[in-house]
Amino acid sequence: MKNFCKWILPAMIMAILAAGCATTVQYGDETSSKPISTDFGSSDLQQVAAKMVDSLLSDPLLDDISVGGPPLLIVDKVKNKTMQHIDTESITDSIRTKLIRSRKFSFQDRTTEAALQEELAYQQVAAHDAIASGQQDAPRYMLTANLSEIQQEQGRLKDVYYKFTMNLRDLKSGRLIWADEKEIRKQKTRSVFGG
Amino acid sequence: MVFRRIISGFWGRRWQGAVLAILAAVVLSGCSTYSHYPQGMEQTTLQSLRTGKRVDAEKNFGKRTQGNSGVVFALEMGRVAQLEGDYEISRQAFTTAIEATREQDEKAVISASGAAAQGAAVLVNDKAIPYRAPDYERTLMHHYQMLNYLGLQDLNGAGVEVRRANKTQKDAQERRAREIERAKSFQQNVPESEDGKADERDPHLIPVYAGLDEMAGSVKYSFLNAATLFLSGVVWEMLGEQNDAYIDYKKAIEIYPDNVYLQRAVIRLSRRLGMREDAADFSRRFPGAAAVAAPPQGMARLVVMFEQGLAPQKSDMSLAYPLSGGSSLGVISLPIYADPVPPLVTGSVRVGGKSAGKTAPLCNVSALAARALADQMPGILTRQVARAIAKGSAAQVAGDSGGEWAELLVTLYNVVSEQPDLRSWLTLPAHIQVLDAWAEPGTKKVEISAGGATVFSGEVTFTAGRTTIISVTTIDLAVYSHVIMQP
Repeated sequence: MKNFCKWILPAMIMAILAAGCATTVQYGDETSSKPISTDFGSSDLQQVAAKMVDSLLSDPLLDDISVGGPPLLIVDKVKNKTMQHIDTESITDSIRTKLIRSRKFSFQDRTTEAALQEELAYQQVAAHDAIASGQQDAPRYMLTANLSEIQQEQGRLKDVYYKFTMNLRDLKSGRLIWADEKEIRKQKTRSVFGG
Repeated sequence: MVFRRIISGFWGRRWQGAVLAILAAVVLSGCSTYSHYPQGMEQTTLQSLRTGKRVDAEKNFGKRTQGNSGVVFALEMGRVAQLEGDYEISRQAFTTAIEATREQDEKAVISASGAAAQGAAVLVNDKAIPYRAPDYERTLMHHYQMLNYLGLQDLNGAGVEVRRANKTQKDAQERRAREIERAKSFQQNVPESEDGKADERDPHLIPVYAGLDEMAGSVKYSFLNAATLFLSGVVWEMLGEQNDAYIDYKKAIEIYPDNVYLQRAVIRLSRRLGMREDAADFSRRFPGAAAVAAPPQGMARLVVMFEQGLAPQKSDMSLAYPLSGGSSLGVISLPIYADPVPPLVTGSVRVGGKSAGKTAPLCNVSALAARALADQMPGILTRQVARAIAKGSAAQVAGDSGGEWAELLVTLYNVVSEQPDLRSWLTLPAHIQVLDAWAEPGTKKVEISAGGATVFSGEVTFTAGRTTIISVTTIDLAVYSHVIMQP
């Protein structure tokens, strides 16, 4: 009985405590959705796309460049500078879709260029009213973006910082006319006990 | 009976249960071809690789990439599939290994499954512990994954692997620095060695360490790999990130200062990036390279990665070791590297009939492996000693309570189950050499010869301002080669 109190009982208490402790993940700042890992996930993608589009659409600059109608824009694929294989085409799509739905920009899509060329070539030989090449409007603005990541670890704490930067460039003057960035910070603490 | 130790008979008369439990453990520990790692791999994979016979990576390793040794089988699968030119299968296999390794790292500090494995290791052997890739294998898994993404024409994916390889090396470096700090604080009176390694070395293991030190040669850190840093630099340059490329070339040249291609790369980039002091310093150190560092305008880059042989295999060594404070001697068996390192054979490269230079060494995998094993030795030894004591007392208890045949049975189990952990990534090459040259754009005949034999001959397309990588691996009689164009 003496041994039971001295060794076995504390061991049982430890085991119960241990079973209750799981590895935890939480945001440094944003708490709008529950993160499940420090990876760049779907909710991060949504947050980033929404924030960027809102920022661009609410900028007074939009009135200046929209004088002659919705400006023609080309969106470049988001550059992935992180340590994760992220489908940046998906972020690009989200941003472009939101901008298109705002009806404040008109767009050209370069990702389907090969299919377009094929169709035009086919029209030249098959159609009586084929669209002549060289008739497209030239986009005036270009939207570029990149996503970078910094990871730091200290003991059991892992801190991952993502920065999404977006720039709007006037192709005529070559100037950057708008830029914004969104930061996401995620932290993970490895538990002492777990499965 | 060397293992006979006196520990109170806490198993009492329950010896029958204990004997049955250990017998069950021996059965469960696996009796497949692969349970003897180097031999199993030799029969199923390495023999075929040596003769150029096709290995069905999926059939050989597919199911085995889960479970205790999953990581090492995923690594073997990734490498074999890549050698045979199947980049997608290889990419998936390396992804499995990378994810599993990450999960191991992010596990709770004390996990139930980890504790169970350690417990099983004490009763059976170290092979009961899930395989954790040592740092040099971790760096190389990203190295080959980079090549997979390049082969699949995904430059951004290759960039991700470059960042991961960098982080793996940086983390390992920090971890090593902390270990050395800890070792120093524990043993303040022990005279310091240059890098703190001697502080934790057990004097009974002198023959083990001597062999490993000889093989490791001048390699101080197993996790720093100049070939991976060089390839990282090449990918950075493809991505247009010259500054990042420069940093990786600079790290690589600290490891291999004699490599002429690294010398040219650091001089070329330090000049282009306007780092005058660095450029002057490197030009002074490497006058030969300074004269030829700048490429003519409009040229294409040719990078040859020339790999030779297979990584060393572990074998076991039994030696007497004092147990329980030196009151008795036990026999413990440890993994060592005993086979000689295959000699290095330089490759000569000709482009369009003209010599483009000779390949130069950038990575001696055997030396990295030996250094890594020497670093792991204190942990392996601790588990071995714990096991020798536990098994000795099991025999003692069995003998006391069940008579001689029970003791004999337990002792037999102890001998049979006592095997060191000989798992390691065996399809890695023994040596990695590189060549970095400039070629006129167009399609040219490229020939690479080594040791009097032609190991590569083919028409290769060069595009101005872009890089073409030719990867050639020779394993005994077999040659595996691939041409990867910059995406």
